[in-house]
Amino acid sequence: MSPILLMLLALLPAALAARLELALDTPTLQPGQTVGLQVQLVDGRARELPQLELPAGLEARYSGQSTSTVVVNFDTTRIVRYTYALTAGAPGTYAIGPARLTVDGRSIESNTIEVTVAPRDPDAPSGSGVTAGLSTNEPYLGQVVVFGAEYRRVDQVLDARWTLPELDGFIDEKTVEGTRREYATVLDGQQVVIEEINLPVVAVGEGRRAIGRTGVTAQIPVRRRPRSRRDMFFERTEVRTETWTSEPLEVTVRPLPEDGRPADFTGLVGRFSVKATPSSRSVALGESVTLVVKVEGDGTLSGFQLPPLPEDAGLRAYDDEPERSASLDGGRFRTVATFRRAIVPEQEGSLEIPPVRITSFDPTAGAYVSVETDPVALEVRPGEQTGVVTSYAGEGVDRRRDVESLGDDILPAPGQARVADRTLSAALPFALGLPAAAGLALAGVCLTGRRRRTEPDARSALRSRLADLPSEPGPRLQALERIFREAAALRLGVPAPGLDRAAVAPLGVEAVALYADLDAARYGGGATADLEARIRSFAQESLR
Amino acid sequence: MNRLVFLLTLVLVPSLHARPVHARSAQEAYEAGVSALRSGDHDAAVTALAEAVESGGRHPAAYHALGNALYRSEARGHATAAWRRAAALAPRDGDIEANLDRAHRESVDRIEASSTSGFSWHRVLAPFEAALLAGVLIALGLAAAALRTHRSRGRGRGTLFGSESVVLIGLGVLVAGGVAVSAGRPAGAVVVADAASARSTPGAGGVELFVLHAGAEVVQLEESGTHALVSLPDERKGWLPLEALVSTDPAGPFPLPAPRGEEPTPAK
Repeated sequence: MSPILLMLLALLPAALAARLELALDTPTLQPGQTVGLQVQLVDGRARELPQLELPAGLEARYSGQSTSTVVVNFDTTRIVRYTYALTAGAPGTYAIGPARLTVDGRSIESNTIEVTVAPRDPDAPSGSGVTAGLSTNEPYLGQVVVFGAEYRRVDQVLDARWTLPELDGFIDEKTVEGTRREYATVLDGQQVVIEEINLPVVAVGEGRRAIGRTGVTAQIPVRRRPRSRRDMFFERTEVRTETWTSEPLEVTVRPLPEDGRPADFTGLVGRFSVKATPSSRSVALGESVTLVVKVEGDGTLSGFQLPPLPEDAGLRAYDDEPERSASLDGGRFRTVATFRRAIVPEQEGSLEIPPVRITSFDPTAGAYVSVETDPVALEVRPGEQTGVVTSYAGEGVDRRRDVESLGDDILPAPGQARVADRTLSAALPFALGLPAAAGLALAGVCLTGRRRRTEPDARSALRSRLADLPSEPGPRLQALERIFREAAALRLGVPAPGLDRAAVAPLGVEAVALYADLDAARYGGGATADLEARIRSFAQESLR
Repeated sequence: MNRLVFLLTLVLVPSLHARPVHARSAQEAYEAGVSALRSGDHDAAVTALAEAVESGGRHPAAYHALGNALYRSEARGHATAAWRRAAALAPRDGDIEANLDRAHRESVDRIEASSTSGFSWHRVLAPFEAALLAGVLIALGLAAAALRTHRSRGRGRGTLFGSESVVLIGLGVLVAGGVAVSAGRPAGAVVVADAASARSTPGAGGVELFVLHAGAEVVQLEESGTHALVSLPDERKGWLPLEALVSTDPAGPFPLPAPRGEEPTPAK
């Protein structure tokens, strides 16, 4: 496989995983107000700026971008955040987006967000202040409402402490924690920092309820004019404490209407949707299919369980513990519950899983509504005939507790196994053979190394000869001749004894001259004055 | 080098060659057994699956299926023994554990094999897996040492075992030690007789200490002729006839229950 193809294959998941998200600091603005609008590119790289669709009445100015990397559970997420300053114009409700961006040659789109530009409240404080409110002042019993409080400040603040009121007639929605965030906005040319708290609560007490004031106590630094030279060099910061409070609230919690209440109403309040997906459309008798039922909405799902299936449906159903999650985005409460229902058919052939029907009270419509899934068709193949059995082994999860609680039948053995000896004795040939092979390899390497170490090293021998020349002229000359031959043999890579004048010729003129001078010196002739120095030089060259 | 290859061949080829001798017949017997089990012929399933096990298919799936077939044949004690063997070969299989749990709840004595507290190899790795892991770790450690020696040869110095070799070989020895300890433990056994009297001495002459029923799991401490000394989790001990027990050692022979129609006699 070519490297280019490999590179493209490596980039493909990144391009497919890239996504674009649009986020706004606050969904409610006033005419002339400027807030931050972010386009976030998650797990992708782009060379251009996103194209942002804006309706008339809103203006956006690009103000920069930043990159961050988040590592969670060894999973790295790279986020490129493009920031715009969004300025509201005329009052109205607008849809922003989608933003578009080309990532790795593929165009991706973001979500759209809705923003409301409300006319200015003439009574609203122009400077610092606190406002509070509920998402609705007339909730129904059991409805999730969001208590929101906003602290606006134009001054620098050292410490701000909130005092939240008692929410009489409401309890906390446990599935999600309240949010607290801070953002900056520009209104009439003045920068305002807004600290916002959102808290989801559930209405549990009928009737008229009074909610007290929300307060913020903040310390604001005061810079005084220096009164002495010492004050000029050692500036002292003094603070003043200031408190702001919101107006008290009045709420009326309405009871759920008795008229038209369906028999299958179990207390859900909110607008919900439900969707069912089977893990497989075909199953062997005695095995199970997992039906994943996802319920999504804006009401609480705490304690909610799926309604049971009819007894004559030709199947058995076992519910797992559902996964519930909730979020608070832009002051809106959203919840999702995922139920996993193990469906065990009781007979072969075609089987239809009846729809899952959920009835709730919709506060927006003020009426009871029902939603249901589409029926799911299953094909049940022949299986083990000895009764109904359930296996969770294929799901990679140890469900033995679930199985124990069901206790219907024994669980079947896998039918497709390749049986072979899996006892300890079957593993021993490999368990002993592998280390033995590796040990032999190690022994072989050690023995080879030892043999090489015992053989004389030509370089070491040459060095020792150079360092230990005899003092007598005759033996010294013999030693020098041997040094020359060994040095030449080292360079040529041949044994020293077989060298003659022709053999040393490839080593150059100096080698041939040395050979001739040594030959002459052996018989008492030739120039021997610098012979030793030349041989030493030749040998040193060979040792390099 | 050629000598080394020859030695490796001598070590590895017999082990590679030894495995598939019975593999085909074991596989065929297993498939026939599962097929018979699905068609409801439980006696045929027991026979075929026992044949699969005895002909080299000592595999968790084979013991699992054999346990199911025995359970369907109303041989609950034998089924428990087969499942216990399957669990020993596949300790992470939740289905086998669920079947054992069911058998335990259905047994008269509700005596389950005593479990050791804390971490134990046999809860995570089957002996087969642990032995292979130990072999691979030690082989890797030795190979790393060989590579290190080969690389350091030109430099003329260096130690034989680097830290990586020490860690790998140490882990390998640790795992091998765990395997050896598990293998050295007293074997478990399951009572397969409807009722078996545990006595103070082997044979009918001993005092009856307690009575165990089919499905009770015991630890077999020693054997003496036709009897075995067993112990219970509450430390009671007694001699039981060997015919009333089936070992939970997956490598041992698996005695099948008497055919239907033959009344089992209470073991003395």
